[in-house]
Amino acid sequence: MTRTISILGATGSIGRSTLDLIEREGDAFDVLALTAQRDVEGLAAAARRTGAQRAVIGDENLYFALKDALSGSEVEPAAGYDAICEAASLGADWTMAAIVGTAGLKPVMAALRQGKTVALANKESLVLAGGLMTRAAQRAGATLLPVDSEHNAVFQCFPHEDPSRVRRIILTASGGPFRTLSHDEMARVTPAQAVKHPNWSMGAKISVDSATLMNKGLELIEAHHLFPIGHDRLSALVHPQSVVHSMVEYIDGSVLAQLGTPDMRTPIAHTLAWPDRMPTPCAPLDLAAIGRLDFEEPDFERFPALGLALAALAAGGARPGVLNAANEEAVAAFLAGRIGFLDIALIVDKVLSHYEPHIPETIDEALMIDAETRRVAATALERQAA
Amino acid sequence: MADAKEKSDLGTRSAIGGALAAVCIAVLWAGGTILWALLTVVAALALIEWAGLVKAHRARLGIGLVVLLAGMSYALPMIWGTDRSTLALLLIAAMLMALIPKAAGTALGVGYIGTAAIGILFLRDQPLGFALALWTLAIVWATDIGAFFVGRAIGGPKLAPTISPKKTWAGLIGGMIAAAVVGGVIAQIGHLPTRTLWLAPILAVVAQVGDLVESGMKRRAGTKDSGRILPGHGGLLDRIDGMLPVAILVAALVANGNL
Repeated sequence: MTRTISILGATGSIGRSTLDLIEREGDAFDVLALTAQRDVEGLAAAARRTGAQRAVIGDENLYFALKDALSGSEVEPAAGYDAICEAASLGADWTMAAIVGTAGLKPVMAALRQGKTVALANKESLVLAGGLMTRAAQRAGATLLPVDSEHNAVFQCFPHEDPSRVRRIILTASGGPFRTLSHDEMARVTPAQAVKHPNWSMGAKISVDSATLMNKGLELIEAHHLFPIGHDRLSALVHPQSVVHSMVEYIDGSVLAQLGTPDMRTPIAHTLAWPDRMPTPCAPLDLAAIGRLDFEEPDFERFPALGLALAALAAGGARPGVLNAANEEAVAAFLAGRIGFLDIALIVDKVLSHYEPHIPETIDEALMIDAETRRVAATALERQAA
Repeated sequence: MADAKEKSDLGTRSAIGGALAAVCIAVLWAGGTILWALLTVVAALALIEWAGLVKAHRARLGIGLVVLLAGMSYALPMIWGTDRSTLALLLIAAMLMALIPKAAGTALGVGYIGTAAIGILFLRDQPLGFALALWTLAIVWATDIGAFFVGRAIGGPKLAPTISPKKTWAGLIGGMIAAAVVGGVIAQIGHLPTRTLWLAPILAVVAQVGDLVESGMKRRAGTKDSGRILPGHGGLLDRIDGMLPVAILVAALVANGNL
């Protein structure tokens, strides 16, 4: 049976991996819509290869460039943010939500309202509006499948029929490139060093987040929405080899873990075939070659971002959203060379103590808080850089 | 005396023309129901003038207005919106109306004016729609202005002396150049495709043809202005005569995927 699918953010790393998998499956999938923000060539090529019904470019100014790139094909071009949200509403059986940043929020909501399956790779949507999203999914009867390797691992180990059987969810963290550095050494690291992740190839922003452990903090917030067992039963564990992607500890003491090579195509394939399984071209896990697996408690002293995230999670409301927006601004300033590595957590802390908005009731309110946080962060950054 | 009158005429015309253009651009930017409302009012008034030129019976004009309003209403987002079917529907309705005895002239106006109005709505609803619709309008304005000034400065052989004694070949060339320049600037700023560059001077010719068609109708009807709604600008139809075929042509090109 062919399933209809749409990929929101088809030209990014997750989008390309998803395309790779569906192209290997041939006729099993019927592509409704592919979207991208600026990569016209990549989008048009993917749309032609997959025979997509529609290709949407987010930057409206690139509409005619896309139209020209698609001329002679059956693919219908469209452009603009509203067109992306419309593409998300086409009712595909399976939608990959892989748009990066807060721009992904509204398309994800549009896809969830269709009541079908949404594979979620956009972190911001759960952090900013996790409550609103999970409620929307419930109302529409949509299935939300996490793509992030950690959450996907938990999803595979989690007793969905009865969460009360779980004592603890343990998200593993590689510890990033500065796991063994002292506080003083960390004060001097450069953006180039921070974006070199030991195990995964990722974008610059998320690589810095891995280095500060903020990424793990944001993932704990996401886990809180995906697996509602209470924030005090979520924890992080440093695991440098990134082989164990996460674990679920049951009340009887059993610990279920999902293991695999660091290749995003495995969790994507899991969501794509769920509840079935499908083959992938990923290298098989060779535990004998790896030899050993190490684990250690995260150091909250050297990695204060993790503590900030846990506090925001416990406080709830708008705090996780503020944490996320402040962090994005601080990381951008670090990557631009305006502030030091250790200043990232300092800035986030400052913004959190200066700005305490109400709990957002709608997506637009959540986005307003996000925008306001960025203004507060800009002021804090100016003072810090001065 | 004659010179002074002509100068003050030109002053009034420029001031009113500029103000009208500003209003048009603002409404075009707003788009949606505001643009729809303006286009509907303009189209209805233009049809009334048209009916006067073809000496239509009042009852036929009434039918024409009903058909026009029905077609425009279909283009409202809350009813259907604009797509190829919206353009087609009005044309079909106008053709059916032409079957009514002595209604062919008015029906032609309904099809001509209505398709142009819906065409502008259709263009505005496209991606980069503001740039696309503004480009269309500005090309016609640039043609009129370029033709007027170049024609006056150079003079020379007449374009169609029996229909419109003032139009010259030099003016037509001037209009084409002005259209190319203004169209090129808007296309560049508005991220329109480069193939719009050679289209602009062609549309300038189309606009002039539209102008001549309306002049011919006035000549047959024996009047100088189609109405006198705008001081110094003649009737409403005189103002939009070049716009009608250009809007229809651009909308058709976009609907057909050529642009």
